[in-house]
Amino acid sequence: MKYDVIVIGGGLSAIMCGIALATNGKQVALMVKGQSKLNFNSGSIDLLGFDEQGNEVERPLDAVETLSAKHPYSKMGAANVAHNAAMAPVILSAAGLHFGDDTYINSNHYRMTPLGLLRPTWLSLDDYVTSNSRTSLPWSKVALVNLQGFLDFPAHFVGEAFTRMGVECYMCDIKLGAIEKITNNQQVIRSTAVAKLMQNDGVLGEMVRKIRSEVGDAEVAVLPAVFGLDGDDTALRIAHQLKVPVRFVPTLPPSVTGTMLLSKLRKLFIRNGGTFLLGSMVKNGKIKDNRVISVEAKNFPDQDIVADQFVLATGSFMNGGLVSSNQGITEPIFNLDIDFKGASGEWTKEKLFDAQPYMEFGVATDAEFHAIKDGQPLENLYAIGSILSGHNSLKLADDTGVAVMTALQVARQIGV
Amino acid sequence: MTAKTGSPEYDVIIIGGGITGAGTARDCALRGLKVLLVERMDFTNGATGRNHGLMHSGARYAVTDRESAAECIGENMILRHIARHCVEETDGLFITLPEDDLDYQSTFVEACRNAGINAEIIDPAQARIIEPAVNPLLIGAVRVPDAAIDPFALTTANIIDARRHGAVALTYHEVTGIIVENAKVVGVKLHNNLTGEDSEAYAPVTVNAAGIWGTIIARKAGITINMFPAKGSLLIFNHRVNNMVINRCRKPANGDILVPDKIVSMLGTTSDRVPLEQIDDMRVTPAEVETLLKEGVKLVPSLATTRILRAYAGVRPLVASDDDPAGRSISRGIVCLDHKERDGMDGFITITGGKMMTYRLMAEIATDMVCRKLDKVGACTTAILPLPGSEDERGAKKRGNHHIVSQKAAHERHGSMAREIKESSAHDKTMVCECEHVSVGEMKYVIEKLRVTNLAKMRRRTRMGMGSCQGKLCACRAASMLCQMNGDVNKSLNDLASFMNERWKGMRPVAWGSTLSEAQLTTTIYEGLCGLQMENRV
Repeated sequence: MKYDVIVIGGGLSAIMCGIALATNGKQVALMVKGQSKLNFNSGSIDLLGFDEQGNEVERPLDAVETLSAKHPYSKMGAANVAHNAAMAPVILSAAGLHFGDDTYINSNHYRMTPLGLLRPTWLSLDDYVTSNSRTSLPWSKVALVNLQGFLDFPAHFVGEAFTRMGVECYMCDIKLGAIEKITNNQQVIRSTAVAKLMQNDGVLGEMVRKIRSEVGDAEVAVLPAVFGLDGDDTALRIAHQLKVPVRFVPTLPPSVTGTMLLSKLRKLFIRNGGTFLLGSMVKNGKIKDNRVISVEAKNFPDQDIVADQFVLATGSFMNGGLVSSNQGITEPIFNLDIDFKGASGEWTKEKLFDAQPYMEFGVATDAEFHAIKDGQPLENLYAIGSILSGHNSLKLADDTGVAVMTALQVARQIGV
Repeated sequence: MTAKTGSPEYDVIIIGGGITGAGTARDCALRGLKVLLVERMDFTNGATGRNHGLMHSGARYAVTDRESAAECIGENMILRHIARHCVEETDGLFITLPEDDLDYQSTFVEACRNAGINAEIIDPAQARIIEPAVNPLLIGAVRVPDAAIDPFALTTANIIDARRHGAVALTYHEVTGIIVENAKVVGVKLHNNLTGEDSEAYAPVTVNAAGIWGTIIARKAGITINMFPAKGSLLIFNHRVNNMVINRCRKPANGDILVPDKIVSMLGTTSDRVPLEQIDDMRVTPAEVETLLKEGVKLVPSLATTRILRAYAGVRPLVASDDDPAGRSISRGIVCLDHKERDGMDGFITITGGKMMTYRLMAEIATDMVCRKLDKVGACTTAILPLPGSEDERGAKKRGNHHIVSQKAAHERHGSMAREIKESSAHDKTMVCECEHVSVGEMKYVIEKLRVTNLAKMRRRTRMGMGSCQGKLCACRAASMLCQMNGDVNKSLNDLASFMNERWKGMRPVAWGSTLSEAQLTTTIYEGLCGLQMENRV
C-alpha cells in the first residue's frame, strides 16, 4: 500500500494534520507508537497565554505579531495563524467537540487547573470551568463533588478557589463502593480507572443519586473530569439525571479529557478515510536526493513503507521525539538537525520553574516547516507540534496551539 | 523559655538535629537529664540525610584506620539489635577486578580479622551467584557483614525515644548566639526560622553536635575548631540493581561503593575539600558525575544503562588534629572536645568527626562528658535498649506476615510503631506514593504523631517522593492532605512548588536522557497543566 502522506505520531498535532489531509482527499496513514501529550490535556487549547516578556495575553491573534522570528507562529506568519485559528474549531466541532462559539477565537479566557489556579487559554470545552476574570465566576453557589479515595482530584484546592472567587462552594464527599473496593486493596485509583467504573450504569447511577441528595440549591455541580473515556455521552447523562448543569475540572494525569478528545478525533479521521497503523514504532527512514523515500517500523520489519510526503509529529523529549545524552541531542528516526546550544550543563537552569533552555530545543526547519538535515531542507518531510524548536511552550502557554496551528498549516501546504 | 533569672529549665542543650544530636539527646534523656535539642532546619537536613545509608562493617577502614574499623564493627553489631527496623542485613562484597592487585586481598582480610570483622574469601563464581549484578570479570571476592541502614528512620527513632524520656526537640530553631558568663557557656540565643521569633534557653552544659556547622557554632563562643569540609557526591539509580553492598577491594577511592537502599541503589562517593562558605549550597558538578559513573560501572556494568534518579552531595566534618593547626593531619575518628580543658571555656562540649555508623558511640562519649560536668552518675544503656520501632523481639520475623504492601513498607520504616497507623477504612488504605508504598493512613500518622507539617518532612519520615517517579503525582496528593489539615492554600502551593524544586535540584546535574524527559514531564504536569509557579499567591 502506498500512501499520499504518512504522519509519524499519534498526538493532537498528528491527528489534526491527518484529519485535515484526509478531508482534502489524501490517502493518509498515521503511524502511532504509544501515548501522547494528550495524557496531560486540560480540556483546553492554549494558543498563546503569555507573551515572550511573561505578560498575560488577552488577544492571542494580535499578540502573535510580537513573537520573535524563531517562533513557529512567526514562521508561518500572523495571517496564516489567524486562518488556521478559524479552521480549528470547525474541525473540532465536526468531531463532536464543542469549544464555545465563534466569537471566542479572538480573546483568551481562564481555565481552572486541578490545583484551583487560573491559567490563560484560548478554547475550552463547553462544560469545563472557565472564567473571563481572575476574580469572579458566573455562579454564586456550586456543589463540588469529591469522590472519596480518588486522590488525583485535589478537591480541597479547587474548593478553596471557588471560595476565593466569591462563590459559595459546598463539598459533596461521595463514597462509592466500586472505588472503595479498589482502594481497599491498596491500589491507587487513577482517573482512567474511575472513568472505566463510570461506564457502568450501576456505578454512575449510585453516584448521581448520592450527588442529587446533597446538591441542594447549587446552580451547578462541579465534577472531576473523569467521564466519557471513549468519547461516550456520560457527561450529558449526568447533567440530565442531576437536573442541574454540570461543569468539569481536569484531574491529575492521565487526562480522561485527553483520551476523550483523541477518541473523537480518531473517529473523525477514520470517517474521512484515514488509516491508523497502531503500535508502529518508526525506526528509521531512507533518504535520497533530499527526499524521504520510505520509513521502516519495528513491527513491520524489512518492509519499506512508502509515501509521497511525510510529516514528523513525534513530540519532544518526554515523548521520545527528541533524545538526549550527555553528549548531545538527536532526532532518532531521520537524524535531523537540531536547534540546541551548549553542553548538557547549560541546557537547564537552577530552579524548576525557571525558563529552561531545553524547552526551546527541537528540530530545525525552514519557514515552511521542512525538516533540515545536514543543513539542507528535506523536500517532503515536515515537522509539526512539540518537536519544533524556537518556543518555550510552558512559559508561553502555546503547546496545544502550536500543535494545532502547525498541523493545519502543513496540511494546507501539502494539500495545494 | 525561662528568663535569665531563676534556675535553668534544662540540664543540657544539644545543638544539631542530625543523627549525632538525636543520639546524644536520647542518651542524655535516658540518663535522666532534662534535654533541649535545637535544629535550625528539619532533622537529618545535613550530612545525616546525604550519605549512602551504608552500615559499614568497618572493612573499608581495616587496612588504613584500624581504630575506626573496630568502632564500626562494634556499632554494626549493636545497631543490628537496637535499630533492627532501620537495618537491612544485606552483607557486602569487596571485589577485586583484573586492574586491581589481588595481593591486596590477603592484606585486607588479615586487617579485617585483626579488627574483629568477619571477612570470608569466596570464589568469584560464587560471588556472581549471590550477587548477579556484580561485574562478571571479577577475579576475587570477600564477603563482609556490611548492611544498609535508613538514616531517616534511625534519626526519627532516636528523637521519638528522647521525647518519650522528656526531651524537648525543636526544629527550625537556629542558634544565633552562645551566651557566655564568666568563661562559661550558660545558654543559647535562638531564632525561629519559621515564625521569626527570637528566644533564649539556658542550661549548665551545651553540646555542639552540629556536624560541619559545628565550626560556625564554636566560633560564636569565640572558639576555633579547624574543620575541613569534605564534599561527598552520590548518585541514586532508578531501581535496585544490587542485593548486597558492593565495594572495591583496594585502598578507598572515588565511586567504589554501591549500596542497595530499599527500592533504589546509591553509588558513591567523591571526596573533595570545599570552602566553608559553600557548605549550605552543595552542588554536584558534571565532572563528579562522570567520575562516579566511570567507577560505578566497574562495580556493576548495568549501571551504564540504568536511569540516574538524582545526584546529591553531603559534607563530612573532618577535623584537624589539635597539634597540627595547618590541617595536614586529619582524623576520621571520633573527636570529643572539652572546651574547658582546650580553650578555658566551661559548660561547652563539641562532638564531631566520626561517621553516621558510630553515632551511638559518639553520643555515649559526649553524654559521659556531660554527666561528668553535671556531676551526675548514670550508666549508658543505648547499646542495650532497642529504639522505638525495634522493641518487638519478633519484629524482624513479623515483617513477612503483612499481606498488604503498605503495611509491610510502613513496618520497614517505623518498625513496631507501625502498629499505630490506622488503616481501618478504605480511604486510609488508599495508596498515595506508589513507589514507596505510602498510604493515606501512614501520612495521617506522621502528620499527627511525628509532627509533619510540610512535604519535605513528609519525605524524610515516609520516603514519599524518593522513588523512581520523584514525587510526580504523590507530592500533589500529599500537598492536598496537608492543605486540608492546615487550611492555608498559599502555604501548601508554595510548599508543593519548593518540594518539586528540591527534587529538580538533584535531577539537574544528571539532566539528560530519561532524567531530562522525566523533568519535562514533571513541569508539563505542574506548570503546564496545573499552573503552579515558584511563588504562588492566590
